[in-house]
Amino acid sequence: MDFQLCSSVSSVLNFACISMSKIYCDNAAGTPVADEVADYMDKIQREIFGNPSSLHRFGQGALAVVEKSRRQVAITLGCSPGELYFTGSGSEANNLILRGSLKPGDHLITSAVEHASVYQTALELRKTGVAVSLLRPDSTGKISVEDVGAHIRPETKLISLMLVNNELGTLNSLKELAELAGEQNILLHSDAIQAYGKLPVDINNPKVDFLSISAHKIYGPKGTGAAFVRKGLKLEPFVYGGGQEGNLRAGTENVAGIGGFGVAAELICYGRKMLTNHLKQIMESFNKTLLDLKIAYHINGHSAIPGFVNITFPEISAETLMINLDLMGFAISAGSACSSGTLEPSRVLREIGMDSSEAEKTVRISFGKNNTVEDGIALARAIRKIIERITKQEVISNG
Amino acid sequence: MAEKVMVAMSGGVDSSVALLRVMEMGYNPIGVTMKLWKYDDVGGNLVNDTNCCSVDTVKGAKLVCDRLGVPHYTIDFTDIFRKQVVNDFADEYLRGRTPNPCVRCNSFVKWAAFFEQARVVGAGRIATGHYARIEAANGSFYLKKGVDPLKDQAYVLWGIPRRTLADTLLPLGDLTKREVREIARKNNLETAETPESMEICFVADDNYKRFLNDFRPQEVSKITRGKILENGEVVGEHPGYINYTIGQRKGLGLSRPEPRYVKKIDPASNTITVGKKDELESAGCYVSQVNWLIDEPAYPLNVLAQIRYKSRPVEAFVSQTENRLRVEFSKPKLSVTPGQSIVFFKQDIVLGGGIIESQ
Repeated sequence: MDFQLCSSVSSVLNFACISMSKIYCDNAAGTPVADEVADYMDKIQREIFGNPSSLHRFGQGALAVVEKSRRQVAITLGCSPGELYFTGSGSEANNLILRGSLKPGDHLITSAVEHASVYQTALELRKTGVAVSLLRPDSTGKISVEDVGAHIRPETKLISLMLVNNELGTLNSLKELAELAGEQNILLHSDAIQAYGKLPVDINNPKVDFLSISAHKIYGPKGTGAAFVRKGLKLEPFVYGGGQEGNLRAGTENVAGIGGFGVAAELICYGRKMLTNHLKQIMESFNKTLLDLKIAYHINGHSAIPGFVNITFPEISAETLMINLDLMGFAISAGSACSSGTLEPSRVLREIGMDSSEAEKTVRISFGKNNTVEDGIALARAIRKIIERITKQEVISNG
Repeated sequence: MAEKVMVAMSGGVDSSVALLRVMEMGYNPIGVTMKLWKYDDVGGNLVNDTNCCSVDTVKGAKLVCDRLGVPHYTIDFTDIFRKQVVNDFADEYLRGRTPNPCVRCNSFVKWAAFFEQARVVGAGRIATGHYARIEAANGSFYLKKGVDPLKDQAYVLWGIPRRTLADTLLPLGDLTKREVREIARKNNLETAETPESMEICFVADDNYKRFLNDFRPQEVSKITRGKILENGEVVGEHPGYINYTIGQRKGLGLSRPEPRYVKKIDPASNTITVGKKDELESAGCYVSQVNWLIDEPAYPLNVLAQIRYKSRPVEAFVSQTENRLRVEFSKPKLSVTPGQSIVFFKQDIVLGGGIIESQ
């Protein structure tokens, strides 16, 4: 198809693809795939095509890829490989854990600022007879442990709170939550999808019963997530079929994706400290340039993730900023997109008490390992340029 | 760097080819799909994969843009669309008139908010896939009919602000629909075979009565049965005046050797007046909300006037009354319908237009 495309419209195509710098600053949405990961996945796709369930050597080779990856990822979480189940995404891992552990009559404590894959699942479970407490955050997006304690009742089966908020980067007090859950004998799940690979994540410190992670936030492929399920805990199967993934999630394994996840996990967890320093430097230079250029802004939440900031620019709408930055080659996130691709007001920003006019001017910027300090400076300068142009236009049209 | 042009991408074949042509003209295009309506608000989304603003049409637009290496965004215009187009659509039907929402969308959304959006993305011009032409002569820009008589859309563009003509590209005006499809196929555009959309985009099931009922339930529920009159005498009963439009024959429940047509709708007295075909003819009409795409002419003025999207223009004589125009047709016209647009032409140049008020 692509060759056809080039031959049919090549003249215009060459024109449109004028060499433009591309600076990706939306790593919280998904990271570029590391070369090592892509190379390994390519090798698997071409050479290790067997079905892991087959008993011949082709199957054996594929099974080895899956199990090697399970070990690689398990090590990074401090769990045993048998406690790790691969899924089709982080969202699926969240669904698997919530839907697999709760039944009508149970009580779930979660929050109003969870990722949609927890929040919407909780709302669905409520319809089936699961009691759900949706706790409200403080103005930074954090859930109070006291509030969790106050909501515990005899039927409380599960507490599900994210490790860091995916829009704000704010950290929850997982240690205190784990103590509370342990004392009260309640299961604890943490959605660590946004934190994993960026902050230390260890299933025993603090001790959690369930954890969700995803490969595409750690320079791995899209379409592969994983659920940690502590040994001895039983979940209801999520997909019935051939019994893959410990009977929880049937279906022929995404061998290349899982293989890529393993490599990505290994790379990120060994290099995390260095990466953290690198990202902090980029963020400092970005902030400093904003100040130097006298750009009005304020930061929302308390981001614990290096290189990650939720930021309001009162002079420009997020949509306008995002589109204009994209046209200049910079990718950032302007709230959550709905299915048709327009921007929807953010539930998280509303929950932390932001009014809609402010939320409409709020974006998320997340640097990654491929960014440089110069990218941070260039992004701030680009923002300045856009704000200048737009506000000048407004003056003209109002005057 | 080439000048930026913001292209309105509906996800259909026309706007896709418009984009391609904008590129061929040497511009640097940006594709924007306007999100105009949320179907879940007022239902009726029975055929969601062929309608504007659905996820599938947005994806079609995105695919085409991506194939051509063009950035694409979907921008929300639902507030202004509701305010300027959908509210007026409902108001007009409730007043017993027959609105033309596409005209209002062009006048008050596309060549207004969308046109303004171009500047926000740094584009000096917009382009759309309408079948009409804009030509420059003597330092002015003129709107002309498209060359394809079957597809010509000049009629729905009479209300756009004249100043926007200079910064508007209509790259399909010199093509026929058949040629547009051929270009799309030749270039493997994903939207090459998208079906023609004829219905009102926000009334996805093409059932405007159902729509009004869902959109304005309180007001519609107050509309009661009423009398059907002919020559001042009661000849029958109607189930509610919003079910009728001028010239309508069906749904009157009258059995006469010679058919009767709706001649007049009067919400105030809740009556429908019917008549024989020849009684539907009017010698002229009053016109308001006039917009000129030329320097305002001196009256009286001889024009060709078109009173419906698919009707043939007829010679007419335009004069000015207090705050309206009076149009006299050279021959009486059938079913001159309040709420519809009347467009004035000289040959194939659109001079201007307005809204028909009364006969």
